[in-house]
Amino acid sequence: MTTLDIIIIICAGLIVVASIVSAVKKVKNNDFGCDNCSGCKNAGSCASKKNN
Amino acid sequence: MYKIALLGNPNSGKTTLYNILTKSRAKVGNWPGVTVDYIEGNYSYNNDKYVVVDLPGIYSLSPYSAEEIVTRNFLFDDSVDIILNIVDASNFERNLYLTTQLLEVGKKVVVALNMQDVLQKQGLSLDTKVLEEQLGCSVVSISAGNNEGIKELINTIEKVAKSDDSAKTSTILKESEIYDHITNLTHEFKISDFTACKLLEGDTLAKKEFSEKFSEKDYEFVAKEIDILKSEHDKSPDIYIADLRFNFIVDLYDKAISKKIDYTKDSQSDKLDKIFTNKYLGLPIFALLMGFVFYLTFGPFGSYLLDTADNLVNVELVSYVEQLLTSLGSSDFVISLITVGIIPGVGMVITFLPQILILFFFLSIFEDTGYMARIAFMMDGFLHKVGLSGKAFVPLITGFGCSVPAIMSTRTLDSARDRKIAIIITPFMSCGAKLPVYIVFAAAFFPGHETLAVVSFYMLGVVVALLSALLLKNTMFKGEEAPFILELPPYRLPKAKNVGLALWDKASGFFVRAGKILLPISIVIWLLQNFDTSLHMTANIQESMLASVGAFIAPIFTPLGFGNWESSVALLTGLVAKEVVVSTLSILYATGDAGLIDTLSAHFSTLSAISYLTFVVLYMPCVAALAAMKKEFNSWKYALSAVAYQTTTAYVVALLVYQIGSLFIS
Repeated sequence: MTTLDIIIIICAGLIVVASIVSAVKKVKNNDFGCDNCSGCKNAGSCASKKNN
Repeated sequence: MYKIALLGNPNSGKTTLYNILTKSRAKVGNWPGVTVDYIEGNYSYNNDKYVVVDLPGIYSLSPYSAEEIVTRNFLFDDSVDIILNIVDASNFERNLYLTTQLLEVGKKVVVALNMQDVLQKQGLSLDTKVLEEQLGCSVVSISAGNNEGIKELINTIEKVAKSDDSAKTSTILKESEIYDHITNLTHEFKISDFTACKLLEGDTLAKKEFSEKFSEKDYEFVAKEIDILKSEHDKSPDIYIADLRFNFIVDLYDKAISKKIDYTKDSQSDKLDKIFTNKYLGLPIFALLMGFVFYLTFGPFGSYLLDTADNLVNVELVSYVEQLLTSLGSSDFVISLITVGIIPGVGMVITFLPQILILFFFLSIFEDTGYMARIAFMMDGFLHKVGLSGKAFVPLITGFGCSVPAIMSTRTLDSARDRKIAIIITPFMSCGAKLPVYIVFAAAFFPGHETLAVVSFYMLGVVVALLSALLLKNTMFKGEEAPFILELPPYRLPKAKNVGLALWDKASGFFVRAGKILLPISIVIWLLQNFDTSLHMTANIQESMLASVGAFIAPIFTPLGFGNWESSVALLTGLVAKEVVVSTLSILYATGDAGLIDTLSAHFSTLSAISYLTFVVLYMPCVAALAAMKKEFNSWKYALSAVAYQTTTAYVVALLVYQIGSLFIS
């Protein structure tokens, strides 16, 4: 395995861990909004948080 | 810090002004009901911070729907320093009705007289000095769409915010006979003029608040005042008060307008409406326009774009990256992770971006020109037949973009019954995330007829939504649908900025989702596909963890014609976001140079593909939409029941499609 391989594997691992942490946070805060919708930024509590 | 409540009639340009003031990019639409919850932003001026709150549009302070109640309650919040009332100058008389009520709230008011450009095109002008004198508040002419008059407005807001003068209230009621009755109530119960007036009008919200603080006997005092007023004026107090306000507005308009308008002449919008909303021509024109849009998006031109993007990402890019990594001495593990996992998983969905942008380009134009509101008008009669208010059109059409804001926009519906039905049926509308699934199956199974195939699946969602509304209306949610009042905005040329922003939001949102959702999921799917349950790497995919999970749920789908584990797993991962269905299938099915489109026919028959797509169109929405449903229902019981209904419907319809289809197709 080359150094590049190790970097790629670590990055892939971090991406997965970060997305799991982010998903758990969202569930905890009941915050599903713009991040998960198609980027419409329609008014709603999600947009309100984004603008803050 | 000063807090500004931005308020006005629906479609008066509030969000456009909000975006200019706060340099935000909240969605703007030329149809009422775009803002369904308040949005907060801020700006700084001369070292002071101003917080601007964009509230849902309302016609008066006598609320009917949930979002109107939100707005009224917010106005009485102590933290609000200034009410910035945006008035559509081209619809002055109707818009000023709300202004006359806002001037009774007891807060400082600044009126922004918007749409000066429209007024000027009509050869008219309004004298702001006269308006200021008569209304007793600052009035500034602006054209938010053209960014004109904003500097003066910001200056005026600063002046009013820093002024020591207390808020002036309107003299309309004070100078009328009704004020004696208002005073009787304010003295007796120590309530504000506004609350007393609302009680006399029979306002349900004011009555509810009154009954929470006072006894039933106290209300008899109020009822007595109402009876006296009725006998004095031979009409109910709410009508009498409305007459007072409108008489004031008509008088004020006559004084402030440069010349009278001849309402007997048709405006440009009236002329266009004679064609676009014509009883006989309206729907065929709509069908033709939509047909054109779908043909351009999914027909030969769209297919060419898809093929080019597919070839670029799934063949050229995969082969280039494979060669590069091999030359750098990377292991097979990493090469496979990137070329079999990440690129097909993320890339397959990215290739649909050009088609999605074309579709939403046209939908943005429909919205910005005001044509979308006409479609709502034409659909009203039809929606009433299935037991929905015409207002339900707003969430249904928003559902074509994304179910989350669509479910939120059900707040614009006036009755709880209509809202619940709309929340349950909205996810049946095909959101943008389902589009990649339709496109890939249409290209694989209906070459040359992609447009018809995609339109059919869109229509399937619409038909099932309407039939569900009919079913729910006659079973769980019996009752009368609320009446529908829709303001048809004037036709406007689409603004390049609005359309551009809508497309930018769509494209950037697409890439954000690709990075935040598709990328990690592609990695996880690849890992689950290449490791067995003992966490050993396996070359035999049938021994993988993914196959074990898939094999467990696949038998459920066997009667539907697609009981293989790969397609079942894709449905499961699709709950995170619907485009993940395509990512998953792409990782599991794509082999070598052959992309997903080429390999799908080896795993599905045409009939089982139709059955599979039917299930995808109708089954429960993604987790974000589920969370939105829970939020709007304010009940897990209702949200989970809705999800159970949607998934059962999907199963039954797909089962019927496959089983009945099998009788005709061997």
